[in-house]
Amino acid sequence: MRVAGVRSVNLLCRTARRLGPEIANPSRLPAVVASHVRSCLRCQADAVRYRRLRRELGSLADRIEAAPPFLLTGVEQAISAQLASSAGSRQHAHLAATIAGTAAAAASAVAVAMWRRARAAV
Amino acid sequence: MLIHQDEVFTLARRLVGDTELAADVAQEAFIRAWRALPGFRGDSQFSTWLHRIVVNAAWSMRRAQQRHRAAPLGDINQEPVATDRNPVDLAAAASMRPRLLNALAQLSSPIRAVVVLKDVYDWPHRQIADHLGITTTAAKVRLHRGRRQLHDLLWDELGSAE
Repeated sequence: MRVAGVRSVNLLCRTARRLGPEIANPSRLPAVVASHVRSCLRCQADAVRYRRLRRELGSLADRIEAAPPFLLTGVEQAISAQLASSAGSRQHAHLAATIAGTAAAAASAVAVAMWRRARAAV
Repeated sequence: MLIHQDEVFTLARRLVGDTELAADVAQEAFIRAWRALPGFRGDSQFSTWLHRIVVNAAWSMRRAQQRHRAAPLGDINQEPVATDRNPVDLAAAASMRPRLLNALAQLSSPIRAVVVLKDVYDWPHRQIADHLGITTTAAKVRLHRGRRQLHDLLWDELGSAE
């Protein structure tokens, strides 16, 4: 009987260990495991470790590391380059539109002149 | 940008675990934020919106890096690298935080990202899953593995007097 009891405790310890981080939150554990954790010092110590780990991780949110000084310089350069590039492409588009407009006007003028000459000949 | 640069860099650093890559991620995030700024409607806090951009930038840079490397950055099943610190060194150190950061850096990237977003920044599982392109179940599994690996890596420190 005593041996069976020891075995079941070991089994519950192993079960609790397999659950890992879950044992930090006894309310989410199966009742039999939760009950074991309450009475087992080794499992309690493990639960405490997991709770401390969560606390320490949570405390990292308040710890801000200083960014390297070149960080914003790089961003500003990239943004300036993009702005210059888009301004350049706008200028190119404007120039292309002007050329296309001029060409169309010239073609129209030639067409009109040819048409008039043709009419005069008739 | 000046106000948020440290915060953005810190998140990037924790996600990618490398200072140089974190600086690249932070720069990329700021450029993306600048492009997307006209579309920011203020539905969420600006810092939350910026954090999401950092996570996306970190993930796309990590993917790009994986494409250019013969060996992957990390695998979900990868075991943490064993530390070569002895108990005397552990006892000599005064604070746990540096070792916690060191242990975090030893996790594989997919696992570290979930642990950082959940346990440090308190993001919901669903949001983490959406941003990392995984299922909520996968996010929970990674979190479980990550906490377990950290617990094993920091066994002595976590058991010491608080």
